[in-house]
Amino acid sequence: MAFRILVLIKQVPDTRKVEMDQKTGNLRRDLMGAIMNPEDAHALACAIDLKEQFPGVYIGVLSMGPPQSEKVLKSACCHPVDEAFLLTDIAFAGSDTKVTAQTLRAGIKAIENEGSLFDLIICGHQAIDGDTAQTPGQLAYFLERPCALGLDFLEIKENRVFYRFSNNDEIITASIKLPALVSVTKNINTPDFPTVRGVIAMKTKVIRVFDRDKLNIPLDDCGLNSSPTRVIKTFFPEFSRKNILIDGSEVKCAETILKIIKELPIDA
Amino acid sequence: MLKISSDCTLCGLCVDTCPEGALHVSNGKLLVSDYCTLCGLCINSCPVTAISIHSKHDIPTVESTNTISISGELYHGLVTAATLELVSEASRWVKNTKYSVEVVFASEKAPENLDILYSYGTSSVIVLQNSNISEISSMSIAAAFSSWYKESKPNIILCSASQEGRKTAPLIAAALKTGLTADCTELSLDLHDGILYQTRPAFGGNIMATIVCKNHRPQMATVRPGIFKSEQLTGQIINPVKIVNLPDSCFKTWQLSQIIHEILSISRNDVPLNDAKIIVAGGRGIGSKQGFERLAYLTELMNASMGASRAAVENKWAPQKHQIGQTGTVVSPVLYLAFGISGAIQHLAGISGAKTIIAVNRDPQAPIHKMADYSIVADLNIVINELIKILENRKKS
Repeated sequence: MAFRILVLIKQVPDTRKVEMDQKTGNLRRDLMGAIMNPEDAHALACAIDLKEQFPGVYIGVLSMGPPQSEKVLKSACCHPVDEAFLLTDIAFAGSDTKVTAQTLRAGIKAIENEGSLFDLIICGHQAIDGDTAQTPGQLAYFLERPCALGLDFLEIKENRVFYRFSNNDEIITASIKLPALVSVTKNINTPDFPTVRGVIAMKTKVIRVFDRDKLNIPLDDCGLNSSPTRVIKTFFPEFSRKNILIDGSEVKCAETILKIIKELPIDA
Repeated sequence: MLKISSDCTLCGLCVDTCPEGALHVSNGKLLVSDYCTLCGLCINSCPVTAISIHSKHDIPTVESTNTISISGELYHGLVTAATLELVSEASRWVKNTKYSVEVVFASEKAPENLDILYSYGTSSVIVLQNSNISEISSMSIAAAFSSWYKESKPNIILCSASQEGRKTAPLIAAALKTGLTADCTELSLDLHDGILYQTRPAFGGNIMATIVCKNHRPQMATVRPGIFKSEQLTGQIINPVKIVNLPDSCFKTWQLSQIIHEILSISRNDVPLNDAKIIVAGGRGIGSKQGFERLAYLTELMNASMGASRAAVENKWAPQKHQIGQTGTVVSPVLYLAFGISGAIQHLAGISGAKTIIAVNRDPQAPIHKMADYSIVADLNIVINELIKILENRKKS
């Protein structure tokens, strides 16, 4: 039977392009734009690499989010993806990482019940809107499957996934048994642009949508209602600094820099 | 659901702020579409506080003890600096209160010299022991911690937001069915009701969010290494270290699936960035790979560690491990010396913990100057060369 891979994809605002409105101090959303979370693109490329290595590999892509997440699934479908799934419901809004992982689990179980287990679930290490890196591990916990997180390399051999990750000043090579879940960093590969044929093929691909009813999740078990954590306040980071301007020639500046350093509490 | 009160003046600021485009004004009303993810950014933007989030019900608070538990971290059998920082900080909160601090380790065998932890202010040290536990298997460590915490029911669990801590903590939180706030840069404990106010950067460091886990217990947070100061106290009571032998039944098959095949040490000719006292960093303004080689030489002469901006890393002038900022390493050195870094907000968020910042950038409008203690508007290559010249001369004499 075909090896089945599921790639998780999140639509995120491009937080790298955020600018603040100087007058109002608000974030300028119009400059942000919605994109596929960068590390998720590497997760997808990882699945495509495996498909090239082992013909007949099935790739599903799954996203959970507001209806506009369809856009990132469509862009994933420009690649050799077999099926795309979207978990969306207004009741899912405000989910923290625990509830997101539980909802994703319900979605994955629903898809698996129609066919068979996914051998490998690949996620991006973290999303740029939250930077928490929590959801992949928590999803693995709720699925009760082994996980390996923050990987820089992976390959499939003898029903196991072999991988490398770094920890402090060490690079560790290890493996876990399939079925499993992994999260990958941007060091793992360089994603390819879609081909023209891929873009044309995308137009015929259908995104299957699952809402709360279809997943059979009680209202009290999803979204903000059941999320343990709540954001109670947001504010702009404040940086207060001396702001002293150093004038003069480059030689003078270099001397001043060393003078400042000399006065700092640094043990030589 | 998002609730909009009659105070709304239809000013439209929230409409511009919403990252999902879920808000719009129509027929003299502010409308919320199903694009809303309840991220809460609009609440912050509203000048008349007309927006709030309404949630259906509050669940009763789960029972817990008055313990603040630090999930201790070991690296090659030694207690990490980040663990000591957490012990010190939690001990400062609970001094002369009903709360107490414990440190828990999960290990194959009990590490030595754990008594030192008492001098950082903890009142108990616990070691969870089982031959299935491996320092580099977050699944096994999380399984050990979860089984202990299910019984001990602490009010708060703090973990280091190190590479391993960020993998282990989510697994513990999932097992305990509780919330977890990642990478906190500020924590404060309300001694009256025991609520932990957890503040962290969000949206790529563009905003700060304060988060609470009101009803679920334990309240869990990972904390950036270097945020709190560790401090050894005198006259602390030293209790015996408690060893708990965990039964094998605490570990499920899937949690023990990892096999380690090889561990390679990477040569590290520089101090790790998050421990560095002085960081010399370069950005786009450095201009070339050769420029970075000069910068590396200066770094060496200054006995410092080298950092780089995202732009410099993307240009492949410096390796990824040198990247500083929200997506790279977050640093808190005594001195941050920035050459040719413009100061994207994500970079600034990563250096906000620096004691002193000196910025050298030819562009007087570069945002980094606003963030700097000392601003130098000059040609950075000449400044670097002059610094090298002076330091080389000093070395000779």
